[in-house]
Amino acid sequence: MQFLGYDRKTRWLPLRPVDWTKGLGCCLVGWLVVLLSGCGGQAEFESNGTFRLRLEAETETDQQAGAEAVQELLAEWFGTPDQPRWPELGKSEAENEKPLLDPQRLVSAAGRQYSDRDDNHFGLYREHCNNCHGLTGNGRGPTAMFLSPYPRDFRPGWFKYKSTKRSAKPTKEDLLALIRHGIPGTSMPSFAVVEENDLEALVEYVIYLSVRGEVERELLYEAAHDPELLEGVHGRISDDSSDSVVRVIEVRSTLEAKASEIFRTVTSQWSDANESVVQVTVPEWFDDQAKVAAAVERGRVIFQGSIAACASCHGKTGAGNGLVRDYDEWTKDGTVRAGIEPTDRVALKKYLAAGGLKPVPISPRDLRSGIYRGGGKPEDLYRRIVQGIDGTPMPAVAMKPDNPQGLSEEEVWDLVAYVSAMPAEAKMDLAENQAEDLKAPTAVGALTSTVERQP
Amino acid sequence: MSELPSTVVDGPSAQELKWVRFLSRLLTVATFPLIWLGGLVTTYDAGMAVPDWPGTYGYNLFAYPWQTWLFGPFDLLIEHGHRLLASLVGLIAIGLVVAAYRTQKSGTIRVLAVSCLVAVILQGVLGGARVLLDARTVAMIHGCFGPAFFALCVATAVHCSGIGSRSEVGVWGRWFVRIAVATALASYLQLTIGAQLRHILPWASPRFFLTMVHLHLTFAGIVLLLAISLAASGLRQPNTRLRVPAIGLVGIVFLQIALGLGTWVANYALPWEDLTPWLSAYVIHAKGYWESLIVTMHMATGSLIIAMAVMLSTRGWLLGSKAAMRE
Repeated sequence: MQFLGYDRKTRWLPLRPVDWTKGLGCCLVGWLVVLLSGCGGQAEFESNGTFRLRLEAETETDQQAGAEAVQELLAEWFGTPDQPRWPELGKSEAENEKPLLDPQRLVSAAGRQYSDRDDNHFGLYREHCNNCHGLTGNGRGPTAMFLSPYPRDFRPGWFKYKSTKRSAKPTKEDLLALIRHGIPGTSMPSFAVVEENDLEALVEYVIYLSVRGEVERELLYEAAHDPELLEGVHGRISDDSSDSVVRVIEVRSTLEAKASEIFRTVTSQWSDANESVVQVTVPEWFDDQAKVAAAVERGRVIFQGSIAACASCHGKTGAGNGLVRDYDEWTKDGTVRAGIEPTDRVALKKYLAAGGLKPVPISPRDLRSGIYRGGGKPEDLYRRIVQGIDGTPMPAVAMKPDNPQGLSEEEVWDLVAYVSAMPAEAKMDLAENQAEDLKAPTAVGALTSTVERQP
Repeated sequence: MSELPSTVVDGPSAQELKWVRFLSRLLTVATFPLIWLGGLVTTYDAGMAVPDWPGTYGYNLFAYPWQTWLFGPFDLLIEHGHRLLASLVGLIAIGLVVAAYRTQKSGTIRVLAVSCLVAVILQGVLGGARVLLDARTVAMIHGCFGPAFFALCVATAVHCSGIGSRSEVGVWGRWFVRIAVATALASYLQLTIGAQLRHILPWASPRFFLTMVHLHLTFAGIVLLLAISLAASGLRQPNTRLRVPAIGLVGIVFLQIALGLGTWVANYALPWEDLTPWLSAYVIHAKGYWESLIVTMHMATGSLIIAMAVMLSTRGWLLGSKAAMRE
C-alpha cells in the first residue's frame, strides 16, 4: 500500500499503523460526541421551578399537580415560543383605547430566525435576546452563568431602570431606550443597528414574556394557597372516573377565572405605566458652576448623613465599599424564601436543580466609576434616589412632606450634584496620588463637563 | 531518531504537476474567503436570508439579478455571495479532477482530487439541508465541515506541489510529524467545540454552555502547547518549508487566543469593574462592524490553524517518507 506517502516497509508514519487506526477512531468518536452533544430538545416554555420551590416550602406540599395545570392553561392562552398567542380576554379601559400588544409583532419577534427579500426580519428574540434571557424570558439562557449581573428574568415583572415609580411597570419607551443604548457595565448590548420597528417588536415580546411569567407566578401562588384548587388538580391527576372529569371541568373554570382576573390586573399595570412616570425638572442652577459647587458640598454631608444613609452601603466616598450582605430579589424566590440559605452549598443543589442560578451577593455600585447602568443624566439619578431600584436592596429615600424627617426636594438635588461629581473627584484623587505637582481639574469644572457629556 | 535523509529526486516532473498544482492552489486560495464569508453569514444570522436551495428566490443561482443581490439587503448579499463563491470552488474542484485524470498517473493525486470534489459537493448539500430543514444543528455541522474541506484542499495542494520529489532535504526526527498531526486533530476538535458555542441551540442549558466554554479554554491551552512544541521541533528542521510555518503557527495561535478574548468581550463584555476598570464601561454594539469582524476573524483563524497544521503534517510526512523510501 502506498497512499499519502505511507510505505509499509519503512512505516514512515506519525504512528504505527495499528496505533494510527485506533487513535483516529478515538478522535472520531470524541469529535462526534462533541458535535452531537448539543443536539436535541425543542422550543418550549419552562415551568417556573424556583417559584414552585418557594411555594412548596411555604405550603409544605408538593406542587407538581398545580404546576402542570397552570402550564397547560398557559400553553392554551399564550401559545408556544414558536407560535405565541395573546389571550383574547376582557380588556381594561386603557387597553381598549390603545392595545398593549400588536399580535403581528409577536409573530415577527418569536419563532425561528429568518429574513425575507424585503429585509424584514423574523425570530428577532432568538436572534438578539435568547442566548442570555432564555426562551422563556427567565434570564436563564445558555450564557447566563457567565454574566455579571445575571441577565434579567422578565417573569416576576420587576424592572430596575425605568422612568416610572419603583413598583410600577416601565413604559415601552423605557424598555426601548435600554435595548437601543444597552446598559454600560453589564453584558447588555446596544441594538442601535436594529431597525426601529424590530426594536418595538422586541419590546412587545419582552412584555408578552413578562405578562406570561407574572400570570404563571400568581396562578401558581393561588393554586398553592387555595385548597379547593389544589384538591381538584390532585383529583384530576389521580382519578380517571367520570365524577372526577366533572370535577376537573369545575376546577378548570375556577382556574381560568382566576387566571383571567390576574391577566387583566397585570396587563392594566403595563397599560397604565405612562401614568406612573416620575416627572422630573432639573433645577436651573445645575448650569451654574458656583451653585453646583455649593450643592456638591451639601450633598456630601447628606450622603454621609443618617437620613439618606447612602454611605452605609456605598461607602463614605461612594466607592461601593459599604456593608451589604444581601441578594437581589430574583435569586431570593428559590433560596431565602424557600428556606434555603444561599451559602449552604448542599441545600442549594435543590434550588440549582429547579433552574436557579447560583446566588451572588449584591454589591453596591461604585459611584466613583462614572458608569451608570440606569443612565447618568441628573434626572436619572434623581429617579434612582427618590424611587430606589426595584428588585434590589436600594431603597427609595424618605421624602418630605410624607416623612417629616425625610429629605426635601432641594436636598435630593444636592445629592444628585454630589453623586454626579464623584467620578471627577475620583480622578482628582488619583491624579493627586500619582503626582502632587500635576494640576488636577477641579471637581466642579469636571462635573460641568461630565454633565454636558451625558447622552 | 532518524538520520537526516539525503536529497531525493523522484516522482512526477514539474511539467506534469503544472496543472494540478495550479488548480489545487487555486482551490485552497478560493476556499479561505469562502470560509470567511460563511463565518460572516453566521455572525449576521443570515443563514436563512434565502429560503430556497439550490436556487435563490426561485431563480437559478447564477441567474439571480445582480442588482438585487448587490444593492439589496445585507443578509441577502452575503448569503447569496456565499453560495456563488461556493459554486466557484466547486467548479475549480471539477477542474482539478479533470486535470488529475488527464495528467497524473499517481493514484494519490487522483484520489485527493476526487475527495476534494466529493467533499465540496457534500458541503454544498449540507448547506442546502441547513436551509431546507432550517436546522441550526445542520448549520453547525456545515460550519465544522468547511474547515475540514479547507484542510483537505491544503493537503492536496501540498501533495500536488511535488514536495519531496525533487532535490530537497527531509525531516529531522519523526516527532515533528507526530506533533503536527496532533496539532491538526486538537485544533479541529477545538473548532468543533467553538462551533457548539457559536451555534448554540436556543433551549441549551447554561450548564452545557459552561461545559463547552471550559472545554474550549482547555483545548486552547492544549493547542498552544502543541504549537509551541511543533515550533521547538521546527527550529531543528533543516528545511525552511517546515521551519518557517512551524514558527509562524505559534504566532497565529497567539493571535487566535487574542481574538478569542476579543470575541468574548464583543459578545458578553467584561463587566467586572474591579478586574477590568478600563473595559467595564464598554457597551457592546450588537452586530457592530468591529464586533462582527473580530468574531468572524476568530472563526476564520481557527480554520487557518488547522490548515497550517495539516500543511506541516503533510509536508513533513512527504519529505520524511520519500526520503526514507529512497534509503
